[in-house]
Amino acid sequence: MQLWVSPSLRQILPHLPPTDVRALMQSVGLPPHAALEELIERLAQPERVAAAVETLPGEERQVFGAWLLRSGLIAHEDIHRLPRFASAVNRLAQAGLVFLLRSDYYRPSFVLPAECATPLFEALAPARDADLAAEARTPRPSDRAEEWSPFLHDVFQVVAYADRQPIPITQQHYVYKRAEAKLLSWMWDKRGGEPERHRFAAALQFAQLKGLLTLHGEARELVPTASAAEYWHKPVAERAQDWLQFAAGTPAHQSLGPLLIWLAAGLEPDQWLDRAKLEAFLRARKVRPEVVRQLPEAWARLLAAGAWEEEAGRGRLTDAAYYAYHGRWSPTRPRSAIVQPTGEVLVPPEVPYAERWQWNRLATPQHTDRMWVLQIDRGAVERALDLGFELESYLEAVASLSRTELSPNLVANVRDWFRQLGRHRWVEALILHSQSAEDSAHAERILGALAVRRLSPADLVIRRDGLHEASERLRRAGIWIRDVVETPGLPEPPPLAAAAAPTAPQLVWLGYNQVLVPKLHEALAYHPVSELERLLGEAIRHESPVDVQYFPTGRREVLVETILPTFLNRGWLQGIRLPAKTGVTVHLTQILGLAPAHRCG
Amino acid sequence: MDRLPLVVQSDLSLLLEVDHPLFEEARDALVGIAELVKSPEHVHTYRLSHLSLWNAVASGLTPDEILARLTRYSQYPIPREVAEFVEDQARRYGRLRLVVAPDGDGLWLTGSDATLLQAVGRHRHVAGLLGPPLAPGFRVAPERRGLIKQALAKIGWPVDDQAGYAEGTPLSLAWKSTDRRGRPFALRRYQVDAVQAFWGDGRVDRGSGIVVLPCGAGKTLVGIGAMERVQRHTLILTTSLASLHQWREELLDKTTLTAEAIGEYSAAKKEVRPVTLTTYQLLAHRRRGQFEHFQRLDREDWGLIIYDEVHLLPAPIFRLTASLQARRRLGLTATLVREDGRADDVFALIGPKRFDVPWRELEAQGWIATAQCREIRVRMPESLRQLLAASDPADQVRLCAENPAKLSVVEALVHHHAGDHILVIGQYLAQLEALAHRLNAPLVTGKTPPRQREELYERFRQGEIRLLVVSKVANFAIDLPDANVAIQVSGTFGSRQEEAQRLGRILRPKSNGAQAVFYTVVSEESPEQEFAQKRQLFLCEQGYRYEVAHADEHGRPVERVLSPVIPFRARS
Repeated sequence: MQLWVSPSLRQILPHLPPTDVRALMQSVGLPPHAALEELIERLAQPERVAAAVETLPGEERQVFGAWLLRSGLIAHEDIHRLPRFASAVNRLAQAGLVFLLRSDYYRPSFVLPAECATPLFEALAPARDADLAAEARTPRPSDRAEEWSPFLHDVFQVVAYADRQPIPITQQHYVYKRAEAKLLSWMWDKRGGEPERHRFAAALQFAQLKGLLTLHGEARELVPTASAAEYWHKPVAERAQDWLQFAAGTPAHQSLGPLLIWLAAGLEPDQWLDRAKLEAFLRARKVRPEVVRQLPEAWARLLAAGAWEEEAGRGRLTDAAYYAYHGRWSPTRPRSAIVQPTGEVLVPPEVPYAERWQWNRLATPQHTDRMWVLQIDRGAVERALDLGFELESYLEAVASLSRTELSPNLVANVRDWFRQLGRHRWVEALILHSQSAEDSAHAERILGALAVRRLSPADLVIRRDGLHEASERLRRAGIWIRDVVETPGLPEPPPLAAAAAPTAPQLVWLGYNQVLVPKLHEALAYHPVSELERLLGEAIRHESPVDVQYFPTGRREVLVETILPTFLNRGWLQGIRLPAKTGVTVHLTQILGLAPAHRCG
Repeated sequence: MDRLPLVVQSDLSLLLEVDHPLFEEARDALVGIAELVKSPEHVHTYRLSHLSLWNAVASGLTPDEILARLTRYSQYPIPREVAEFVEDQARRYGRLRLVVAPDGDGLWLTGSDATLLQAVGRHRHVAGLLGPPLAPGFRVAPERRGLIKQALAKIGWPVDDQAGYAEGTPLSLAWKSTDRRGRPFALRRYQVDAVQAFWGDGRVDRGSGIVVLPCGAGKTLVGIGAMERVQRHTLILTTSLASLHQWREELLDKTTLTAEAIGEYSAAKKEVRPVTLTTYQLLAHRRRGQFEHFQRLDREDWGLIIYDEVHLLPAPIFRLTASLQARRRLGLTATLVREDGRADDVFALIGPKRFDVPWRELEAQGWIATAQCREIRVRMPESLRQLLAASDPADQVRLCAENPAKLSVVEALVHHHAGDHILVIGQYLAQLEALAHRLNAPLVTGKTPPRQREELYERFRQGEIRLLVVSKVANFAIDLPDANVAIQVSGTFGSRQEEAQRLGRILRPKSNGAQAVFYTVVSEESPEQEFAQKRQLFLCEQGYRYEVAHADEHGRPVERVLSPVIPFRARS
């Protein structure tokens, strides 16, 4: 289960210098020109990761583990406070577990690739111990995750709703109240209070993030993308991973969301995570206060995403999240919907989402609950026509999803609705176009003065302002006609937007591929930027040269140079490169390590 | 077997799968805590309501026991909302009581929670029905007994009605062990259960309510069973004179009552006796602003009032019925559907539903006939289509219903069922007269004198005639046990109740074991077909399927060939 959203090996490796790639290949026993996929597979092997961690001396392991807890995956300059950071980074870097990349114009960051995050955490972080478990234990009602979970149910319903009618959005990107009220009634938890609103908002956000919904046109409506239907065919484990990654939070909050999930997943099924113990633990590990302060937010996010449950100061993964994490799934039950002779369709929750998506297109939803209740009615047939179904294909589709035989009266009704809805339609300019001259003549008799003139044996021009009245007259006479008005000659509506690629942390660079396997000079010390200012200030005052390891802009390498600092202003260091005596300017955030001159030897 | 048959939804509905080994056991567990809503073929729907839960609590069940029953059969965990509702409703029960006022002057709404009493007393829907304060609580005029219970139920506070009933004058009444023809007789199991559900061992919280049983299942005997338990003078309200006479015959046939003990209070006779039979029409009759017949009968000391076909309770009777709250009241019906939406008022004024059983269940047990439902859609002749096009909407339904092509269809059906006992039922006299003429069959309408009507019914029962054409007088309460084919040629718009009643005419188990067949003949692609779909719905909800066939404008059967339709541009 991949919780951390981080640059992946797939993203990093193509941008490494060839020498770094060859070195990694060699480290895992591959020939220099082996495929990157093979390298990725080897690097991410949990056993190999664990073995790499084992090579770290105990103290370094502890240091690195603490760094993980403190800062999560993508670290910034404050990691320099940690002693022996360099040697730990170097060891793991050689094993392909840590990379240096430029995360903005100047600043380098260390990243652990996403594929390795979990095994690294498991190998390094000493946090999975019983000391964080609460005293109380509560057995779980089940020992499997269902394909559905309340959160994914809500996501599905949001997207399914949008598939039937677009969701109107305000300029501030809120759902309009009326539509929101309707959507809330389709959510799993229908109580409509604040927690339910948060869950709804989370479901909506997820749907947009995964590219299932997109804002369409000037009307500001959310509509499903072309990939929305495909999403429900994804393997259940992938959807669950999407869910838990979403619940874990954005990269800005990576340190705690994934941590909470990971810790909770390591508990026994009936255990809870004690919140007070967790906070104390984080403080004891000297995690930055601002990170600890994120705990309530990370906690709330997990709750909103339906991955967390809490009571009396403790929390744990919901059944769905817990067993999804461990890959323990209840089987789905395809083709287990029941179609009653009344046209009522009952879809149990174990029906795969791919089938539920089809049901959303074949029948009119009535009520969402454990059993999803839909109705095959004229409205459903109307929608089916819109989607391109013909009678036989519709009946076939319904029968293929149902475990009960369709009753004769229902089939007869569906045939009649197709027939009724397919016999006449409106054409722009209010031309009533009929299937035959006979039908048209009959319709003309019914419409009387509303029929302005006859266009052809099967086409009748109707009074421009008489659409509604004409529809009513025909219906009263037993002729059903849809209100849709066709507009031949006008441009086709634009196709639905292809799914936007899900937002993922990008490797940020300014036109240069700047990712490296770091080799930090272990003789140098690593300081926060504020500390650098003080040290360099002293060096300037004492006119003392310093050895500096830094990651220059525009270069694909880390340099170690002896510099005589001469001037320090607004984060910029100016100095003279020794012994070349050339000028050099370095931004403090580019500096990885620093020591009095000649320490590097 | 790893799946359970019940799904408990958060909206309090319960879905019970029929094709499951535990179905019967689960169904029995739900009886007494939930109401049956509908029972189509594959999944029956029940619903928890405040009324069903109050009844459950009144019968001694605790919230935990109720939830345990649900949990035992439920495939998924009980939704929190359901558990909370069960506990909340159980908590509410008994906190308000309606008793006789301490000084004997009327009734007293009281309870142990003064704050609650104050709150309900201020509620705008309740305040106007209360009398002066009588601490702790309020006086209630006896004639408002039903109304106050209705109002309090609407605001979510059930009243435990302990005010009891006016006992009524004693009446000795017992079942005979054989009927007048010497055949052994005993109530069926479900009839015993229905009586017990109503009577409840005579507790003060029982003795009023509604029993729902399919047509042909013997509701009359359930009514008599209630009389046998109550042992008091009884007033029986029926829908028609024919029905009134049927009641009389059953009473004489099955009980120890003599003819002198049974009175007919009708247009022709005004007999007030220990058991008096009358009609709704007469009771609601007003002369010079006075309900004279009601006032006459209201003076008697009845111990039990029976409302036959209670779903037909006329609106004026509602108000009158309110004043009968002090008496035990039993409503009998096959369908609680009211097209005027006043079903809740029936509950409030008669009492809650006490007993219900799916039609198909009785069919499976052989207590009612197995029935097939068939619809024949008949094309309209071109001349009729033209006429329809030019007609007012008010006339269009009748025109469709009187489609002349139906005559040939009915004739063909009658021919096909030669040897069966057939009822042809319709709404429009001209059509029925045409049919009677074409089929050479007797016609029974509202205009047919009662004696002639009875004579025809009797000849039909005896098998002398096997085909009757009847108007909607035959919708209710005529007993033609061997009728096994009904052909419905027209009906009242989308009335589901009428559909059910008409099917009921042929649901008595047949002495020769013949199956019942119910035909509906409708004009295709007309408003009538739309109404027919709605009418079908009730029977589908009872578990029946319809087969559909088609006929052309000459009444000849056709295979339905769909005309090619204009393809629509798919909007994906």
